[in-house]
Amino acid sequence: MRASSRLLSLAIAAPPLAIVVWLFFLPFLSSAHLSFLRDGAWSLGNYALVWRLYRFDVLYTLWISVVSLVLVLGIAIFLCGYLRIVGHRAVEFLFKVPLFVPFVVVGHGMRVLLAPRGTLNSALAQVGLVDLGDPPSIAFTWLGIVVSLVWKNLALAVLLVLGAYRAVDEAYLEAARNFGASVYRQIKDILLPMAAPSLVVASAFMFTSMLASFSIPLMIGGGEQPQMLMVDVYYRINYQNDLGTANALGMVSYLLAMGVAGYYLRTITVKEF
Amino acid sequence: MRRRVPGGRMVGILVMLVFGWVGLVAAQVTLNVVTAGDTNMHDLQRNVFAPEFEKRNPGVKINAVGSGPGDPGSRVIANKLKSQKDAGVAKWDVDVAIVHQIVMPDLIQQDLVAKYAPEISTWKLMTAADGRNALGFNVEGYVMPMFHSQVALAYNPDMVQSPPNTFEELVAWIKGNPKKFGYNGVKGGMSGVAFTTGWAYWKTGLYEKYAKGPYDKSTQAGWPAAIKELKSLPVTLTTGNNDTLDRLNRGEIAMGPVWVDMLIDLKNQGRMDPKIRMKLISPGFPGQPMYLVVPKQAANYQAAKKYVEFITSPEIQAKVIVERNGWYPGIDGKHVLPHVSAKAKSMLFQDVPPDELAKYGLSFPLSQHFKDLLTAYEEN
Repeated sequence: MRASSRLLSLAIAAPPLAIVVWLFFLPFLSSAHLSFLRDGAWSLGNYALVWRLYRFDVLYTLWISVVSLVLVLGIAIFLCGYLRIVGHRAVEFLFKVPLFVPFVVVGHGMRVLLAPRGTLNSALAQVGLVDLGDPPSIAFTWLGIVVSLVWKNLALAVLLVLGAYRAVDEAYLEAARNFGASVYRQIKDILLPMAAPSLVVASAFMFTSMLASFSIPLMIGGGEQPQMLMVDVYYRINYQNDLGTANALGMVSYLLAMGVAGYYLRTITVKEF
Repeated sequence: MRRRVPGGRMVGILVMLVFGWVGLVAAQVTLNVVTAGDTNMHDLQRNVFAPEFEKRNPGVKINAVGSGPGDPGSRVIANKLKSQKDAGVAKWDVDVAIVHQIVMPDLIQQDLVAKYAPEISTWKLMTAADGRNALGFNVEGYVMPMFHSQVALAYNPDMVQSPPNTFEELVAWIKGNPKKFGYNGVKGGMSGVAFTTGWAYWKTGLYEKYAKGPYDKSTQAGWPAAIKELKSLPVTLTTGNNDTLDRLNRGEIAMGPVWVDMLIDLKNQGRMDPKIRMKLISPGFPGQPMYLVVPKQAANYQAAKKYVEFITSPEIQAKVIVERNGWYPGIDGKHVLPHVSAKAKSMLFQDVPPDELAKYGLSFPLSQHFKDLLTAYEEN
């Protein structure tokens, strides 16, 4: 690249970069700075507190995000393959519905549906599958959070993965069909490998948003430890007025998200130049 | 697609605008009322008190503003007043503020609020202890409590034949009915915090010290053991104030601590099983008032006093504070009750009569103790 065109590209990129710096990078630095301050002095006290009280919450948050991500991807890969090869308008529409449902509504809806005496168990009790005297509960456990996150994120996954699948040339699929490949084989050997980069991008988006989920775990999670990280952040700020520890928790989340973001950036820049 | 506003409605809007404008010109006084608390608190000022007050006092216009939920909302008001004082502004743009107990020491020590209450007619109707003392700090004359909100045990009489009278009986009941008692720990809202605080008061027997001060960390020696014992009980941990109420309503739990006004509000809306009852047990649970204060340099000091007088008048306390919101009155109940409908009275006082409220309605501890208790709960 020549120097002049380099300058030009820089000039074009400057406004969005400035926005990123101003809205994200500076707050990030301020957050990092505050996380090392305790009572106005430099210290690692906030991180010590995170380690002492919240280390299992970090693992719990990762666990929930990973499980939800695996489930979402697993469902999306095959569902979208089916929609791409066979096609079904109504199903496709149904899977896009959660895109327009706010997190709080998902949290509350799932809570009502999955509670021990919620809609689901009450319906199952009608046909004698569940005993309401001692009902099983999906809500208020980590499973409840996973179910809600999966349902909410499936829409985004379907949108991204289906788009990637549709970009795959029909000729490949026809060739595969000529050799007698089943729908499953077409998905596994043609669609999936060719759409892999898009899947990685979708995963990065969803994983970071799951790490940062707040209203869903607040509404459908259990009341006891462990909690997801953002619930802890909220608690530190609102109940303890302790911004230092809240920022330290924030830094931990940044680090978790950064690993994923780094991978994402490598994927999208690898084809440049 | 753009939505078109039908012609008739357009004319209506224009008429409203014109009349609103005329009204604005005609009003000699705009009273700025700033309230901390959730949207319900803002709605109360804007949609209930303001229209009624404007009707009774032509020429006064109420401008109601919300500053945000919880203690941080009160903090915003204190900071705003302080910045106006520091800037040397002669007339501050807050005439009446509604705040939590926690910011009162700041407001008084920084000389931001007026000692206005003895100058209004409803002052002698106010007898509550928390109208004179806020979390161990003397606030006499600076505040009028707008209402008092209380945490109590709500229970389902079908599942709890003889509700407990004391913490000892409650513990025995919890052990005999595993998972049927639910509360929200200390992370999901204040009803769980209040229960945990009441538990600590009972276990240590040092309520006076925690609530009235002076702060002394050595009084907290008994907490770790008390909290460990609380956490060892076979209870259901809910996710918040609302979740406890929802589960009571669905019959998943049989008993749990709730804000009295939230339970009554849900009953009024028909969203709560009407048979759910309440009980305040010995030695008691904390509750909290919200205070009406008038800033020192309020631009409309006289009108501000009138507004407080109006809110704390027996009639408004009865119709709005008790009947509409299910709070306990800020002034002495005996002046309010004659104006309250029988239905609202039974809702509020059938389970927790005024004398029990006086005995078992406690305060939250000093703010430093309060923070320490939340930390202790997490660490043990």
